[in-house]
Amino acid sequence: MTWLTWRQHRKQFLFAIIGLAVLAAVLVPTGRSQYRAFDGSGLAACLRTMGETIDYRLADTDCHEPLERFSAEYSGDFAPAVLLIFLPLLVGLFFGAPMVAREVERGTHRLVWTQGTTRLRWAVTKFGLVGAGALLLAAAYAALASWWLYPIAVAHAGRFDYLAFDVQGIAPVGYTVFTVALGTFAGTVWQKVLPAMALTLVGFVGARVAVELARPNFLPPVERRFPVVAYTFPNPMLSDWILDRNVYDASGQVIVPGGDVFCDPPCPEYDPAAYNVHLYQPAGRFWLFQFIEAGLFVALAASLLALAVYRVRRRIA
Amino acid sequence: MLWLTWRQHRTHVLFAVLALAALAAVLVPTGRQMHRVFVDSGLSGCLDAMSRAEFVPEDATDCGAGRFADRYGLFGTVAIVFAVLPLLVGMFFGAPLVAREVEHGTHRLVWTQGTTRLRWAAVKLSLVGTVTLALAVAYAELVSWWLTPLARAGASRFSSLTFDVVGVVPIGYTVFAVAAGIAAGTVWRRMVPAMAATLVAFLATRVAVAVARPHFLPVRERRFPVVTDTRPNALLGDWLLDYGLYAPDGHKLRRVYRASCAPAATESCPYLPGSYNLHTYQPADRFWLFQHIEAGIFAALAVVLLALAVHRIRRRIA
Repeated sequence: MTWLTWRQHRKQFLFAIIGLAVLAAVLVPTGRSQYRAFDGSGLAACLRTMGETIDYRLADTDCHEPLERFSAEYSGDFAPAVLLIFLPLLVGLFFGAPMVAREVERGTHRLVWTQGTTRLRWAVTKFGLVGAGALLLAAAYAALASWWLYPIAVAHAGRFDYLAFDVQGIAPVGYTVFTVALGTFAGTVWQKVLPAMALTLVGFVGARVAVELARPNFLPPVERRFPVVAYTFPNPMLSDWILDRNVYDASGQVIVPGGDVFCDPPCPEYDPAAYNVHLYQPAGRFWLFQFIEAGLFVALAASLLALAVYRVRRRIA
Repeated sequence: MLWLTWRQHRTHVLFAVLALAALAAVLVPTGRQMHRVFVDSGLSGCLDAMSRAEFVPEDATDCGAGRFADRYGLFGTVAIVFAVLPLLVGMFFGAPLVAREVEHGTHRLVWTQGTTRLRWAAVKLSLVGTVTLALAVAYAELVSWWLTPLARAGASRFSSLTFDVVGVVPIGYTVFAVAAGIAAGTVWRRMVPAMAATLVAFLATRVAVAVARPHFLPVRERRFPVVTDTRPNALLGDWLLDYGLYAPDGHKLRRVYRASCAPAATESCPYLPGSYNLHTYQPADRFWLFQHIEAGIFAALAVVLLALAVHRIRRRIA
C-alpha cells in the first residue's frame, strides 16, 4: 500500500519539488541582497533600538532615512509576495482533491479494496503519506517565505498586517493542511476530480476570507489614547497592527475619521484637548495569533479528514 | 452540438456567474464608498488641477493623496489577489475542455455521430471562448472601476500588479490562459496534468512579459539640477524605472530619488556644481498604449495556442 501510494503520487512530488526549487532559486538570491541592504543601511539596527520606546519625538533619531533608502529599493517586492498566499491552494488542488476523486472516478479503488486491503487501511495510508508530504512542502515554503518577507514586511506595514501575516510563520502550514483535507473530503463527496477541485477552491477562499475578517477579534484589541497637540507621539516603528485610527475633540466627537494627527505646540488649528485613538493588536501578539490561526485551520482539517474517512468507509461503493 | 456544449458546460457557467456576483457584491459597495470619499474630500478635483505641471514648488500640496492611499492601502493589497483570476479561468475552463473528453473517451461518441472533428472543435472553442471573454470583460471592468481612485492617488497606475489587474490586460491574460489550458489538454489528454501545465505556462509567460514590460518602448529621461526650488511632480503618475544622482561628468554617484539644495543655500550645498538628478521613466500617458501592447501579446499567443490545439484535435487525437 505504501509502495502503491508512492507510485501514484511520485510525479506530483517531483513537480512540487521542482516548483519549490524554482521558488528558492528566486527567493534566496533576492532575499540575500535584501538582508544585505537591511543590515547595511542601518535599518535593522535602528529598528532594534527604536522598536522598544513608545513615546517618540520627530526630532529623535529615527529610522526614516534608512527606511526610505531600503523601501525605495525593495518595496516593490511586497506585491508579488502577496501571491504566495496561493501556494496552499495549489497543494490542496493538486494533492488533496484528486486523492480520492481520481480513484473513484476511474474505479481503481475497487481493485485495491478487493485485494485484502481494508478501506480504513487504504484511507489511512493514502491520507497519511500524501498529508505528510504536503506538510513537509508547506514547512519548507513557509520557512522560505518567512525568512524572505521579514525585512520587507517590517519596512512596509509590519509583519502583522493583512496578507503579510498570511505568508509567514506557521499559518501557511495550517492553511496547507486544511486545504489538502478539504480536497480529500470534497473528493469523497463529489467523487469526480474537477468538481472536487472546484469545491476545494471555493472552500479555501470562503474559509480564508471568513478567518481573515475574524482575525482582528481573536483577542480584544488594545486602545491607545494620546493628545493631538504634543511633542511626542507613539513610535511608528513598533509594528503594532493598527486596526482603526480616529481623532476626537474634547466632547468625544470624531473630527478626523480614519486618520491620526500630530501637531507640535503651539498648534492653533486643534483644540489642546483633542486626542487620537488607535485601536490595535500589539506586535508582541504576533506568534500567539499565528498559533490561533494555524490551530483553527488544523482543527478544521482534522474534522474534514474524519468525515472523509467516514465517507470512504461507509458511503463509497 | 450547440446543445451538447451548453449541457457540458452549464455548471461551469453557473459557477462563474455566481463567483462574479460574489465579487461584485464585495466590490460595488466598497468601491462606491471609496469613490465618494475620493470626490468629497476634494482629492479628485485637486488631482485634476495638480497633475499637469512636470515640476512643482517644493511645498506643493499632495492633495491628501498620501493619506487617502494609506487609508485604502488594504484595497490595493486585495487587488493583487485578482491577478490570479485569469489563471483560475484557464485551469477550470480551458484545461478540461478537451482533456476531460479524451480522458473519459466521450469525444469518440460525438465523432462517430457525423460531427466532424473540426466542427466539434470550432463549436466548443467558440462557445467557451465567448463565455470566458464575456466574463473576463465583466471582471476587468469591475476591478478597473473599483481601483481607479486608489490608482490615481497611489504611486502610478503602472506600478507593480496594479497594471496587471486593470484595463484590458486581464482580458488578454484570460484568453491566453484558456487557450493554454485547451492546448495543454490536447497534448497531455488528462485533466490534472493539463491543469498543472496551464499553471506553469501561465506563470512563466506572465513573469517573462512582466520583466520585458519596461522596455516595450524606449524609456524617457528627466534630468534636473541639484540646485533648485522645485521638485518633480509625483502626482503625474509616471512609471519611474530608475533614478540617481550624477556627477557633472555623467557618472552615477548614488541611487537616490532626488538630491537637492535650495538656491538660497548654494554655499553649503555638499554636491559639486553641475551635478544633476536623472530619472528614467515611462510617461503616464503611455498607460493605454502599454495595456494594448501587453494584451496584444497575450492575445497573439492565445491564437497560436488555439491553432495548435485545433491541429492536434484534427490529426493527433485518436
